[in-house]
Amino acid sequence: MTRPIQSPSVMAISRVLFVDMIRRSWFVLIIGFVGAFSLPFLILGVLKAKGALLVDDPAMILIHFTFAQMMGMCFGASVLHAAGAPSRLYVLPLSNRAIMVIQMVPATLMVIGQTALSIWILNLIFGLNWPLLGNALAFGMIFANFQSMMNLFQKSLLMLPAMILTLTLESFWVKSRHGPIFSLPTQYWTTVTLMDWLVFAFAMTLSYWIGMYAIYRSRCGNEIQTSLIVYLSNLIQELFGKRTKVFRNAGQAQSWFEWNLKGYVFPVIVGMVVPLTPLFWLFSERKITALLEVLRVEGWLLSVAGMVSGLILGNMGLSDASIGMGQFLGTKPLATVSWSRILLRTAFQSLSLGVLIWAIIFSLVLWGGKLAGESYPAELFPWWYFPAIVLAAWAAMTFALCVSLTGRTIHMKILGGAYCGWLIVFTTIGNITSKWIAELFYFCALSGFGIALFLLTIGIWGVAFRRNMVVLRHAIVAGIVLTGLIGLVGWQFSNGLPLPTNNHGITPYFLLVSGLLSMVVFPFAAAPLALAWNRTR
Amino acid sequence: MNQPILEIRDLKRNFGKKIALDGVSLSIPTGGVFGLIGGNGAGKTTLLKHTLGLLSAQSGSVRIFGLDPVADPVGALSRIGYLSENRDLPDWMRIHQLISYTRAFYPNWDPEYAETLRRDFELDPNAFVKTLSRGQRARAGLLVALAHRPDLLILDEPSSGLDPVVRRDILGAIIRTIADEGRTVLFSSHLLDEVERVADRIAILHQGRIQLCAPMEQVRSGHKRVQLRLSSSVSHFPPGGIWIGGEGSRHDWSMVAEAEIEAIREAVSLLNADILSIEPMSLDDIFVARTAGKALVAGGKS
Repeated sequence: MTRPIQSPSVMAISRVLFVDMIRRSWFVLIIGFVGAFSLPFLILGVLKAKGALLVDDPAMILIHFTFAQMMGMCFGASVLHAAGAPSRLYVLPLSNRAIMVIQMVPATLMVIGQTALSIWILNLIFGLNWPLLGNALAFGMIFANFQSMMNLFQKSLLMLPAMILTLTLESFWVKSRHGPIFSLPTQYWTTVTLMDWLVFAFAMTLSYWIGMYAIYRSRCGNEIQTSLIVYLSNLIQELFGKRTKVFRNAGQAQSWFEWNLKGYVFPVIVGMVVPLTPLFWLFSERKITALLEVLRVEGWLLSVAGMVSGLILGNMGLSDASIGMGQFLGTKPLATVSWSRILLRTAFQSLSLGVLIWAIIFSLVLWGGKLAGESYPAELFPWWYFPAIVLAAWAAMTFALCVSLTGRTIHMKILGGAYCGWLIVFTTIGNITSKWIAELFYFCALSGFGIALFLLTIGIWGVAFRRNMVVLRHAIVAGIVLTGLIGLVGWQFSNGLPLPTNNHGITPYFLLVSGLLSMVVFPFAAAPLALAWNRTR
Repeated sequence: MNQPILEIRDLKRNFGKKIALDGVSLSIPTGGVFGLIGGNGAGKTTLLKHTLGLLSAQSGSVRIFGLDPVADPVGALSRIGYLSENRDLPDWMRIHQLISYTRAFYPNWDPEYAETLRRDFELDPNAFVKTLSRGQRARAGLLVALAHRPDLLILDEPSSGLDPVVRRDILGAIIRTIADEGRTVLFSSHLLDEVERVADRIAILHQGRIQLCAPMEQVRSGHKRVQLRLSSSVSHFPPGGIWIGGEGSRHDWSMVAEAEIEAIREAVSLLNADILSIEPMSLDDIFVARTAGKALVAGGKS
């Protein structure tokens, strides 16, 4: 007698896939967790060290609200990456319903768990009394919504407005749990009411059904439904994409390639995030000076966007997961040095456009402020502010570009691991040792890091020079630029830059900034080396 | 003898503990079609990547047109057309963009020839690469590899993804055309019937080593399948001599010999055996004998 074939239960498959997800993406998840946790930990640690951590201060509500969002977004992104596309499950003997459950439930639970755990740890370390449940559930809900929307709209142009609309509505609701919507947060979300639970249940059910529909549709191989935006996009493609571009030379063709494939990423990130600032500003006290302050911080955060864009820009592989140079590109008769310059030029164009977007919005707000009769504190924007944010963004973008350009993911893992380890040591040393040891550590760490970056740059230039990838003229120009920048920093430091003070004076900060400045010229030698290493293995 | 277009000397390559190439030496003359055959994992793609400068030699040397492809990629690659096994074309481009982009790299690009190929291959200029079928993708790759009329066309497993009709018509015609113009084609395959049809010279690569490298005719005429009957029963065929593989048991053996007829007769008489038949061999049989035959001789019938 033949026994009927027993199909494995959804739970069993879900368990196997969950283990597989952890096995494949443990590093990304750890980075996401530590990344989500590190900035709040760092800032609260500094506040505590300075004796400025006032647990009952109303300002802590804003800090709590901001940190909770940051942690949810940061870890949510890594979970989204780890969960992957549902299409990988389509060939398995699973119903659409089961795929949706497998895709949504473990990931959502991870986000809820991470948010609650992070807040709990912060409470434990810093003696806070931040509530756990409300924000944890809210970010689980937002994550599930986000995941379903991504499945529904895939990479179509519809995704962006849909995401903005959904996230705005959800942000309004989360904000309403922390006080009036259009003001600074005034209260903690201490009690999760029956109404809140109903909202969660409704949103999760909606996510489930939207996700189900998305899976049903894409599993059948149906294209996403055409909307006006998609129709317009197709029309633009039809009108302009059909024109055959004639390139004068290989360099021009490769520039076109790099820009069309990756160059626009930085301006798009900036163009998506910075214009939203005035929207979120509506949630606060709506003073022009507050908006300017946020835009000022965003100016520094351009370097974070630059780093992400640099990683993408340096990816010479066929996909996000495979960053090694493919054979199509590898067999193009283009000199490695010329190619690396094309990449750096693309990075510069990308950076310029992104900074321009930020600067236009900043200027408009500044101009609006003047019209409204609101002045901003001039000390917030010293003369060096604008060059500093541009140089920082350039250094971050091109450093990441060079790392990615090697075509080896192991370097990203090492850097991510080093960053996490460094952050943990840096933020905890003050709590676990005496003040004297901590100060010595900070002195050595800051100075050492700056010197190491400086030596790294000199070493890379030396190797590139030996391999004829740079010539003496390049080295002289780089040296002059770097000397000039360091000289300016030294002059500014000696004229009283507001810095944290300790027994060792400004020396470690000067060395650190000098090392960081060397990263401005680092890519001109590192990029051709990295590209050559990627191209020929 | 022509000057070699590709000269490889004692090339070694390991990936971790795995030996991919183990002292490969190969010289490919200018003009004609050179077939590189070997089973899966034999090292064909690794060898071709070395010729393109995508892998650097861990030991040994590679010279193409007399140039080191790693040190001078522009000099070497501008004279090479290459179709990769996995056809990693940029999905986001349209066909006309792919043609226009690739054209910029090659001063010898022939736009009329490119257009002829595009029409022959029935490629819609406005189609995105991502929408192409496997066969169309191979054709698009072939188009951009051919249209600058390269001195050396390197095709890595060109047949995969093409249906038999397209394979015969397109690949055969292109390979012959290129070869007739005095250009050189180097292609790897494990589909031996197509190699046999078009190659002038072949090399058999097995476990990272060159087992055989000779003109096609010489390979065919130099290998024979010999059916013979021994006077006494043996469990193992006596190894060595002209025999490179075979199978059988006791009295009756079917052996592969690498020798002329006279030498075969002499060897058989030394064994005190009778020849039942001597037959020519297909490349397929020669390949199997070359890469698996020795074990059969040593171990008897398997």
